[in-house]
Amino acid sequence: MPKSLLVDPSVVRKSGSLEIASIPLNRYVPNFKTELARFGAPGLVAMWRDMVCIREFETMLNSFKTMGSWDGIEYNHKGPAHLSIGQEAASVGQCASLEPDDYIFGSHRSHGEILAKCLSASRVLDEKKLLAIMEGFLGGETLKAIERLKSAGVRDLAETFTLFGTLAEIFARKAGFNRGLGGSMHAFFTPFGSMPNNAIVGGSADIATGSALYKRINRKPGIVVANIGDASMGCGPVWEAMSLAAMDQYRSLWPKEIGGAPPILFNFFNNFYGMGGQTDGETMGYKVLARVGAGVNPENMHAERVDGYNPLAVAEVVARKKKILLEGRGPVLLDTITYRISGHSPSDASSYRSKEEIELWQGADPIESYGAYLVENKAATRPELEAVRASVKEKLLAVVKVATDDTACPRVDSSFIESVMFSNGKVEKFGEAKPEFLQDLSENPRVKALAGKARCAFDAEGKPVAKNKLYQYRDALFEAMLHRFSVDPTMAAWGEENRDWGGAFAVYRGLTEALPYHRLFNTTISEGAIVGSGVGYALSGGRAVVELMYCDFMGRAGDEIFNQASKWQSMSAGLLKMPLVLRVSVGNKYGAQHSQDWTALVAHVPGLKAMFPATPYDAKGMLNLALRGTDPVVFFESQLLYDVGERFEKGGVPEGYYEIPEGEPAVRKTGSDLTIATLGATLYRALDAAKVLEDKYGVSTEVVDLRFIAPLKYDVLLESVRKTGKLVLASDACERGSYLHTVASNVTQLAFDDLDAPVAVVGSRNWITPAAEMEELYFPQKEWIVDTVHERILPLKGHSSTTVQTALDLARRTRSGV
Amino acid sequence: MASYDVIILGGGPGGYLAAERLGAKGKKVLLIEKDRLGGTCLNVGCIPTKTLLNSAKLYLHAKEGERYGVKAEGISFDWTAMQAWKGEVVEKLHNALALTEKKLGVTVVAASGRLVGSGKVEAGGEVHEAPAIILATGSSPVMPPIPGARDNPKVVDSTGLLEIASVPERLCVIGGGVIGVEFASLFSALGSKVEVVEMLDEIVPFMDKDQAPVLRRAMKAVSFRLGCKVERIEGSTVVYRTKDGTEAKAEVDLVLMAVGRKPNIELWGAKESGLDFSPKGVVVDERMRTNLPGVYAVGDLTGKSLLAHSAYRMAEVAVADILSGGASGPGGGGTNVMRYTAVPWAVYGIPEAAGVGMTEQEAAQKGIAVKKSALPLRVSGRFCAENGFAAQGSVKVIADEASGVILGVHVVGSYASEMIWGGAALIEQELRVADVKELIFPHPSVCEAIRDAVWELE
Repeated sequence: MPKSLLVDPSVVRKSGSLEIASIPLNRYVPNFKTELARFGAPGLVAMWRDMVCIREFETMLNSFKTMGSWDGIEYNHKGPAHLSIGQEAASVGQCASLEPDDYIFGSHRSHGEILAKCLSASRVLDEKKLLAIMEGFLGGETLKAIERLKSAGVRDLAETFTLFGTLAEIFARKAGFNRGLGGSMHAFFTPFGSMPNNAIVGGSADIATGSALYKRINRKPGIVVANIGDASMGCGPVWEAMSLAAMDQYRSLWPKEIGGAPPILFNFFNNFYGMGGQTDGETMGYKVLARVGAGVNPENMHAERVDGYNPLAVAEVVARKKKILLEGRGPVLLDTITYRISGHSPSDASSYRSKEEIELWQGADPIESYGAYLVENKAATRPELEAVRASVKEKLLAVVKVATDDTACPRVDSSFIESVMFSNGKVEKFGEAKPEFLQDLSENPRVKALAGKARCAFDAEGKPVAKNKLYQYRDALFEAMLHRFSVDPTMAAWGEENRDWGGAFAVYRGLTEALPYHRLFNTTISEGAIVGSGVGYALSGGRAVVELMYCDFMGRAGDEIFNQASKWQSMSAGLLKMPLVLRVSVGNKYGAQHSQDWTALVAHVPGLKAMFPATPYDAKGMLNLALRGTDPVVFFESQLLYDVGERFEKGGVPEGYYEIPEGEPAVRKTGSDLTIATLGATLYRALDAAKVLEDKYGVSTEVVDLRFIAPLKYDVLLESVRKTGKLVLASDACERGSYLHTVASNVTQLAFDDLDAPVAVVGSRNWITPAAEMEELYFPQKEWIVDTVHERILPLKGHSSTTVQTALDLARRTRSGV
Repeated sequence: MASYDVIILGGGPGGYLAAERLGAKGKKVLLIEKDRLGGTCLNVGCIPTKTLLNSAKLYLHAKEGERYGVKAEGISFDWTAMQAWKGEVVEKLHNALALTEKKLGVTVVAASGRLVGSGKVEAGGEVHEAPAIILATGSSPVMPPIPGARDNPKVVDSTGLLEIASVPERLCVIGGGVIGVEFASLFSALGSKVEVVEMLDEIVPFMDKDQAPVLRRAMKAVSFRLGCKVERIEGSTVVYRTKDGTEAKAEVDLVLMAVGRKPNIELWGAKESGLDFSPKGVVVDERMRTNLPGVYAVGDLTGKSLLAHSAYRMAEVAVADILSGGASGPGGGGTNVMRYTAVPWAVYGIPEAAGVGMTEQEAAQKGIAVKKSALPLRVSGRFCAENGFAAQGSVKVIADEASGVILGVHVVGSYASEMIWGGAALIEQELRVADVKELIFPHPSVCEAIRDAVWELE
């Protein structure tokens, strides 16, 4: 893409062979002297204690799930519990080499990681800071629940706090780390660097990459670790994340002072199984997971296999890899072998593995072997270790008593859940630094060109302005982007062909000259990772704008849009914000896989805001609105609209800053006999239909542009319906399942007595989009709207329908499923 | 390419009445009929059968007059003369119809029409355009896949039977519905030995189960084989299986296949035009609109209520919708839509039978609690005077148990076909028992029995 990198045929066509460097396997050699010097005896014992905490914690949960009781306490835990008994050394060893500023993102099996990270962080942070964190968290609620339990100082209190916060979260309590809305598979505690865990296999990979991008782009300290499993190597988004993390441009094109590649460590906790599928031998082909690094870049992603059954082996390798990452030479892949004695979940009868295998690994129990190592090397005595174990058990019992008590630990109510679906915040900037630009914006070629453009579609005499002199919809989007870029130093944008090309539809033309690489860059063709990294960037504290070139590509980023971006604010009970704008372009003229309007899919999944401007004034005002908010916004644009000028706002599109009020439809034309409401580019055909209805049939028609999908305020529409009593809704989305059916149904509920006829919905045919030459067969035309009015709402005197819009034909089509 | 206000495809009762109503309102109408104006009803259905039945009744009455003091000798019937009279009636009515259409300015085209799509019909090589189209292509007799039925000169349908040169000595009627029963009545009155083979357990399936046996038993000269399924036809022998599984034969001279009629949905472009239909007929709403804008369908073609008078009413609903621009129905505050709750039917055999509304069995199926009364027609003085004191006849009335609204009126006996319109009026107007009690019926009449039956209800 950048002209500076020449593809030379004489080079690439040369004959030769590709050599792949060898990948180290299990190279750890114990060196107690070094380890003692590094961690100190208390530190080494503390690691053992952490492992015991995890073991007892997971065993307790297993007991509750399988027997409904533990240590004399009866409790029914209804939710999931994917336990990691046996994997303690991997999580503890990893965290021994990490700081609170280093983030870990996990999987559905991450209780051990959450505990390890929090426990290790609470030994590193200074006591005053530690106490302040605990006192401030959830207004002190979590701390209050366990305050009365005896503690030997702030660090010991922090251990209790960690055990309780995690358990209360698993038990869906209000005082849990995420107020009970995250639960076992999504819990986390950011002050200690424990970032969200993900119930979707491999879900953390691209989110963690986005978080690493946040650190790199905003020069924040620390690295980011994605703890995902071996079976997640089968997931597309994991490959996309690694590809995105390994892009050459970080080192070849980005400014040197940014520091190189994002500091992401893909630490695969390889326990040799997915749920029951065995990766080595059954479901994967890599034989040794570390091999995959060789498929990504010449450094093999610095891949190593490490013995995850020895915490010191893991600590050693993580320390080395962290250094590589901080130097900007990432990404890194680790194949940390481990094994879970517990099943996939408590209902797992282990029908997929032999008793012999389980016993082999039990025989290698990391807690036993590490404990023996400490005793052997005199870092601790057996009685000391037993005392540690006893004190952990005693503390756990006290914590469990509180966490299982419904009176001491209530749960949130429905109004709370409703309140955290969106943060509804307004943030001008997420950082205090000066926004970085390559040039003075007054020098920017596009800014200069726009200064001479007509910001209104019609001149003073009412004549249409020529396209080449016109300020267009795409220019309005550009101005909104440029404004926020110049206010918020954390704002970064990425996607396919964003830089250099300037976006496939020229929305970003001019930004290449203005912005350094780390604020605007091209990604791999990885829609999943594009959106997922946006999610990670946003929840780490920065404003991200990611682009999907075509709305149809949302399928490629399905999980990231519908399970990640939409849910983190609420699963975190509002602790995380999601200032992510996902721009998607509804296509035109390129046929079936490049023309779809999927507003309905986005409308259906709670937690997403969505909007669809149809005019340049709205494009700028609504993108401004989205870019100052703290909620994830799917921002629909249309390829039919990029070159239109402003036809409605007097004076055209203002040069300064303004926002469209959230959820408010706009009345484009007033009338008294009929209301046509539209979403997207259909607005213009509706206005044409209104002209026919008025001029030929004397039906005074009001046209309302909904422009918002969620949230959507109904007042304007209801007022219109009160006046006209008749409503037809139209958009280019396929009729079946169209979001407009939701609007029609709601209007019917809210304004039944004002309606004189059923509400009709006009949409595209429920077919593939045919070629451009046939598109009037498929997309709503002005005749469709007029005929629908005639057939289903108000017979028009003297009118003969030329298209088929009858209710009976609707019944026929639904019978055939088309 | 000429343009009209309305194009009508089919000149049977639905089509020709629609044309008349539209013509009377000054609309420019094109009526396309590929065979003869008047359709099935006028040419090979209602009119010819009732004409022949009247002749047969005259013959019977002449033979039975002695009881009433009238003796006649040398009574005979002349089938050829009967057919000639039938032909004259049909021809004169056909010509009167053609004249009526002409006077009202309707353009009649003798051609096979084809629906091209909304607003366009092709006929005789020309494409005609009109903002409204009424489809009225009627129905045809069903020839079922019974082995030996097709291409058998001894097996005829109703149209074929009307053209026979002489009265058969022995006739087997397959199908005990209205058509089968009327022909059975006709030919048994003229001396044929008639056997009716019916698959179900009773003749005329939609009749009330108390009334149908009255009709059947009154048709003393006809043999009814109920619950019998025809398996094959060998020449002029009908082989059927009785209810207990035994095989039986009817060795006759002629077989009438009268198992039902199906809508004519082929050969005029239904599929290609995008019209919504199934083998049961063209899909319509209560305003007779199809799924294609501006295209209506009426009569037997819709598969709903295969009766000429239903076709008339459907035609009028479609016409009202066209003339009012869609405002004749509820959307425009009107009530002019097609309803099926008060469609009368009549069997013009000997004796007659007629009914309108629900039967007692239908009410039970719908879960409606009813009160009922049934009286022999002997309660009517006139009936006794004209038929004797042992004659079969029955009236049955059904009303809603709670509200007293009349739901069904059923009559077997003389003049049933002429009095049943009154039953339809009671039901259409939703009159209750108490309201009917305030009506005056003429005396002496057979229809008074209806009033007597109503007085039995409350």
